[in-house]
Amino acid sequence: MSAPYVEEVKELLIRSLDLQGRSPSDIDEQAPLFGEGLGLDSLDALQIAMAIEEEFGVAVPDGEEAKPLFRNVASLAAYIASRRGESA
Amino acid sequence: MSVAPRVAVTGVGLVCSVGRGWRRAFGLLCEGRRGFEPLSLFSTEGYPVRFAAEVPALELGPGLGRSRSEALALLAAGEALAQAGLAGEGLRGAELVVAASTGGMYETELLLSALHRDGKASYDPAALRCHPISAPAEWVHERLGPFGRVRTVCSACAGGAVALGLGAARVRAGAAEAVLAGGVDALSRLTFAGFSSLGSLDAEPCRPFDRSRRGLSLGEGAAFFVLEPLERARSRGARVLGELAGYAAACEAHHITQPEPEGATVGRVVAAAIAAAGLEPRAIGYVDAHGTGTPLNDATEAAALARVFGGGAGGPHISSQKGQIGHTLSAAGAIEAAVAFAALDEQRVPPTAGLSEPEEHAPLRFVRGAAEAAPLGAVLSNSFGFGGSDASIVFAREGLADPAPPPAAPELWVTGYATIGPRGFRRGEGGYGAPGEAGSPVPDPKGWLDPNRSRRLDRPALFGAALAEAALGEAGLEAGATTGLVAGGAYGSPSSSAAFLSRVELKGPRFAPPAEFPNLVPSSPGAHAAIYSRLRGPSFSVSEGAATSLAALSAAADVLCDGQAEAVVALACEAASPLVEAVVAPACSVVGPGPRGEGGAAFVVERSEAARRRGARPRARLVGVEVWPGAGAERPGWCTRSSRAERARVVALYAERAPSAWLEALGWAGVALVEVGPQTGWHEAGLALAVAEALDLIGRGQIDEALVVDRSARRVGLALLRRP
Repeated sequence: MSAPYVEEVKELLIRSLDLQGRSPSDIDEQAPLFGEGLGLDSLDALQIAMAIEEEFGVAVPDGEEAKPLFRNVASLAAYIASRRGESA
Repeated sequence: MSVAPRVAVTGVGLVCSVGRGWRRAFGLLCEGRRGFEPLSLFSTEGYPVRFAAEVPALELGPGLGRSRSEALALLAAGEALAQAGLAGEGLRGAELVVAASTGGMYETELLLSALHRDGKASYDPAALRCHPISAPAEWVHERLGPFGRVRTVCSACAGGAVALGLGAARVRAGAAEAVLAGGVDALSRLTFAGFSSLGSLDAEPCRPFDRSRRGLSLGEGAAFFVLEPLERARSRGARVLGELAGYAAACEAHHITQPEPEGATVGRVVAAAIAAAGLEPRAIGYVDAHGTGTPLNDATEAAALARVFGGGAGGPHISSQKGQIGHTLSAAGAIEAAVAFAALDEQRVPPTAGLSEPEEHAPLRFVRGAAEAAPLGAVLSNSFGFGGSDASIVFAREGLADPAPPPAAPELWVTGYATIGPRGFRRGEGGYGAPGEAGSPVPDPKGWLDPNRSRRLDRPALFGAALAEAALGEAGLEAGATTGLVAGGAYGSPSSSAAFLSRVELKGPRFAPPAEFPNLVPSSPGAHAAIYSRLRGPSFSVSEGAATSLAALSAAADVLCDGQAEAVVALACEAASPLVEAVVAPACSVVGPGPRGEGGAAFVVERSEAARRRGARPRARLVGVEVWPGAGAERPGWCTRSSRAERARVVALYAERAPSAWLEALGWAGVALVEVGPQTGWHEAGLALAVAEALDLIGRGQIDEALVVDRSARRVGLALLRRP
């Protein structure tokens, strides 16, 4: 069983970034989001931040502060969990 | 052999937030005036940034314009023509090129958003006539013309420069007595929400090239130039203010919003524009930089400028006006060209407001604080847009530059094509088969493209990318730096824009989806296609209502004739859109009896010598293609029929738009007419499918030549294709 919000974040990525033909099980929660790994870019990061705020009511910082959060699915899920007071 | 005309500037007009009038605004810019105020045009509730560079006291009305874009365009265009001493019937041999991205968006966005939520909401169809990006050009034509030819181009934030480059190309080709060329854009909720969603807006008025810069600021305005052959300007006694001596454009083909690292293409374009003027980089005394104030743009532009000019005190003066008038999008290229040209004319360079500490890695000669007097022989203006469209213009004092003439007038070949319509997706000849299939669903192009590289593309962009890729494959052409792209799109994506606006209204600006905004820029289908196929020549879009497809082919021919590219992918595509179908098209362009369809076609058009060099075979010769305003009294010399009637066809989208009296006047009486609308559906890219039908008939050996025709009350379009 994965940590809280990991499955939800995977589904959010697939839906909000239109990752065609991918299912949550295809996404490794430890794989880097950018460059090698999922191959996302800065425009995706903005879209993810908006979608997380909309879906979880959690504001995502931008700039340097955001970098560690956007490492991978697990880091995003942990951030959402911590902001919602439900740490794993 | 006659020498190619040099391009004289005989008039300039400018409107921006700091002031109206070219010289007056330049004076205020030199004083360091900054034109930012809290937005009055719409509510900025929920936005982190609440100011912009609005043009004050713009009173709309039947005299000035139905939209702010129309009014801004009319003011600047009128000033330029008055300075050049051209008016009314004296413009019959003149042409108009207008760059625009927003059109009447500000005026129509609340209506579109309401109609998106409730399709039965009542509205006045006439209110939509100012909506298309082609409306400002039509307005200027109507109020200040008539012009012999009217074009609207979109290349996002590089558009104004692209319009000047196309205008200059027509003068160099000896095709126009004069060209009024420029750009316009008005502020709108859509662009404000969009740039805000991208995190691109600086909380303070922007600070181009400053170490602390955080983004851009938005503005609005317009600028126009009168360009004409130098000899003609002299002979009619016009005052020659200087010359448009060099122009170059290219596409980075890198990313829809991010600039290429290190600005490789920017450097290539700057160097190419200087070389086109026959000058060395050291001859350039001033560079009016694109300088938006975003961290990435300014870093890549500074890196490129340092490479071309060398860093330090020996290089040209550099400044940006965006800290004074904001980023005026499609107007920016024309406005900043007008500022650079004023600097040349008055021998002083304006400062960069907002710049106090340049970044250390940019040891360039930035003008800060106050304007500086400088002896200037030649100046350069840079413009870059979404999708990686880069353009540079060089102006020089009369007689100083040595512009390279355009290459000899080419024979143009179509070497490959592809279509999407109710019969599916197809490369080359195939035919539409049995009639009565207009209602068939058009296939989803996703399956033909790499899913990772196409995931951000909306339906018009998927059509564009699939068509361009297939046409290039059919032509056997490897993409490269000498292949450009011209995409025709009549209305952009009003349904997607309305959905975006509606979301902002209902949920607040924080929930404007950033990844969707780039697709709302009218040039985005073409930009996505150029990126997908790595086309690095000039890339832009055109919009001409029902005649958009032929206008795209015509603009491709202009680019090829000017030697800006060896091959151009000319494409037109339309995706079904409820708002276009129900609201915009009925008000702006009725193309046929319906039902409206979707789809389009792409054509690889090449200079024949370039095609021969690579051993390509022509599908057909593109003998001529033209779209012009009016009822079709003129008859271009090239449209003469050369084959027997039974070996020729007239091809139309809609037979009623090919009246027999007109065909007789064109010398095409008694030739069988093929109407493709019943098979393709009726839409603004339908004429591209008519051209494809002509190519099919020629390719199958059934005929020797075909004239594609379209005549409405407002415009006439013709294209002649002949067996090679």
